[in-house]
Amino acid sequence: MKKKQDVRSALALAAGSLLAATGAQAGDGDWTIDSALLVYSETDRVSAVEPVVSATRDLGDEETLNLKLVLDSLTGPSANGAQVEEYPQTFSTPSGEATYTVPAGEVPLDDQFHDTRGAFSASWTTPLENRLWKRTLGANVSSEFDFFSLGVNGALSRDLNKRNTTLTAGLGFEVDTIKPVGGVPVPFAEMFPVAGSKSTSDTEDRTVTDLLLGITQVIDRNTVMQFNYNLSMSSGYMNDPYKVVTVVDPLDPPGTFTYVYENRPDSRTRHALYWETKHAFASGNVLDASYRLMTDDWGIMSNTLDARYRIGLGSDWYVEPHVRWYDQGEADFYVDRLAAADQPAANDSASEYSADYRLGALTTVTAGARVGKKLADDGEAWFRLESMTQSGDTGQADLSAIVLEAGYTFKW
Amino acid sequence: MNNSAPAITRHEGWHAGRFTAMASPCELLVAGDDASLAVHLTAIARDEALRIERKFSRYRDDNIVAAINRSAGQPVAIDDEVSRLLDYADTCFRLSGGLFDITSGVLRRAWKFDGSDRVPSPTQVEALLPYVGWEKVRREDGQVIVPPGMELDFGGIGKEYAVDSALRLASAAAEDVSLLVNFGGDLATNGARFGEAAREWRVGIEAPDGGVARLLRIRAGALATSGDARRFLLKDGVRYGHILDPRNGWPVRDAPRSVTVIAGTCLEAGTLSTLAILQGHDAEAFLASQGVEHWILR
Repeated sequence: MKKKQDVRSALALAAGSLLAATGAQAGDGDWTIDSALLVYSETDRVSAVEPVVSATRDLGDEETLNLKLVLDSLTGPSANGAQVEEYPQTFSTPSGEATYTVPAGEVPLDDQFHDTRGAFSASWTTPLENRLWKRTLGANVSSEFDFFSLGVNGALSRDLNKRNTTLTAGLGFEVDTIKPVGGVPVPFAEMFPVAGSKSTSDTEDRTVTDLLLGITQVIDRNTVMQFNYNLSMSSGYMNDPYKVVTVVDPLDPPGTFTYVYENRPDSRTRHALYWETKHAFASGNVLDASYRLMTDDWGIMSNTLDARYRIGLGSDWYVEPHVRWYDQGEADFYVDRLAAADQPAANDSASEYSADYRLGALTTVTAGARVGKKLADDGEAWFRLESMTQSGDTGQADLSAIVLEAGYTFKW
Repeated sequence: MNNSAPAITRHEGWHAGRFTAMASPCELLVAGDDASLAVHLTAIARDEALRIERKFSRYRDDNIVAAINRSAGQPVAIDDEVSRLLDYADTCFRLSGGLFDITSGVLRRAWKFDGSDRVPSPTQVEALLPYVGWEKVRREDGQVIVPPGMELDFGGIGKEYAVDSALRLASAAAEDVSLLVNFGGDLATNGARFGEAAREWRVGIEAPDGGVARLLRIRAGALATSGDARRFLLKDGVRYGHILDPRNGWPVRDAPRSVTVIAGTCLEAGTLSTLAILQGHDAEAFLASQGVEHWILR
């Protein structure tokens, strides 16, 4: 035995450091259920009601199973791609069975737009043999009346440097089947007459392959930083079957327009860099800031800045203001209108034009806040209200929307 | 493992929640009249006890201890909690000059303390000694390397650690509520004021004949007992107690039958009482020099 009087104080010190350093160890064997109802409403356009239920089961020893179900219900009019004109405009519905007319000076909206989407995903994370490696396997399925998607993904992560650094590599593969209402439009076929504007096939498909490389680094006790690189390669049918381009011919009488279905490249390769930092201040408030840079071979480059700051109010309540700024440049093949001289022949799949405002220059600013209250047993109830304002090159892009979301998390 | 709901009983000014974990009767005593708080806190204490049992029990084949013990000399990655427990075991090993050794569990292959007279042969014990010795275990960068044939056993500190950890979690969930955690006789209190009259918890220490040998009043601190009057071998009039000296593989000579110590945490109390037994004949002198309140049963 060493000097005996030392033993007690040395033990007290050792026991103190063992116990003090023990973080709250999560209990396992429970399901954590996150449920939310999101209401999204664009002024005069699409509104969506989206219940989300996510269930996570902690299987112990860092093994988790997550199941998620989302139901989207979209209703309301959606921009069809044609430009605002000084004259009333008439369009065919996607099914080709009817027409609708848009008054002069208004954004042409296809008011037949309503859709219900169901999506289900599952992922399973397990630590591997020596626990520094972690493996995640996942699958997802999504279904709408004109769209079906099936995907699988896997990721491996490795903790290094006493778990202060985590490297992640992931791969995902997805197959989408598109079955447009009324058939697949022939690229650059005119909307009228409807006969002959649709191809003989009624479904198209595309594949999407994703690669993700990431590093998460603990900077200090209160700060964690993440960098990701994401490569996404899509190939197959990339068109939006419901979007048209307005063709303007100076020889036509005023108020007469021709609408042709759009055509996009049959592949897209995107590169995205993502940086995120979370920092907890001594007050307990948490700042979460991120930046994303995306560029693709369609010529689109976008920047996203996002920041949220969680402020504790007493022991149970918190409020979290959120701002997001998104800016994108237009795709190489984006046009607001086509001059008749440039109008490709029907089925000229080598030409590429789209007037979809989502491929044009856009700036979106979102601001709002979330208020939550912690409940017993790690439960939480919260409410989110955000307003989104978007502006772009054309009247189609200008819109504002309100997002309302209420959520409830509990253990089961 | 017992996952049934804890049983809550109401008493004058306090509640008791009882459950079974780590093969021991366990209880959480909660001062006050709030039964739902007692239910909530007992669930916290039980979950933590079961978690630590699952993670550190040597009787399971699906936990980190099993992974280490069948690693055959290969590095095994360990998390922060395991690493801190190994730090603690390392401190105990150094402080005790090698007497407190979490690798000494392999000696149980020769020793079965069932009250019989089956004392192993010296060759049997000798054959196991190469597999004992904490100094042979290496640790580097979140990994532990245990030589082939050797095993780690957290039995000597796991229950005490669970008591302290369960008390800390339950206390965090109920500020200023006086609590007492008791897992099979190893217990700890959080020192919170107990009622307006500043009452204290009263704890009886069991006498060898089953009666209450002593009644303690305790408001802060922890108590642990090492040694087990029922676990021994008796041959030719010699009593072999169940605490083994890792240096020679034989029961500590002249060891007290049990030692009870009061200290700041259950871990300290449990370790001090084990160290005292390992001193054999010098147990009394050792504890006297540490200046802790203690009881020794010989």
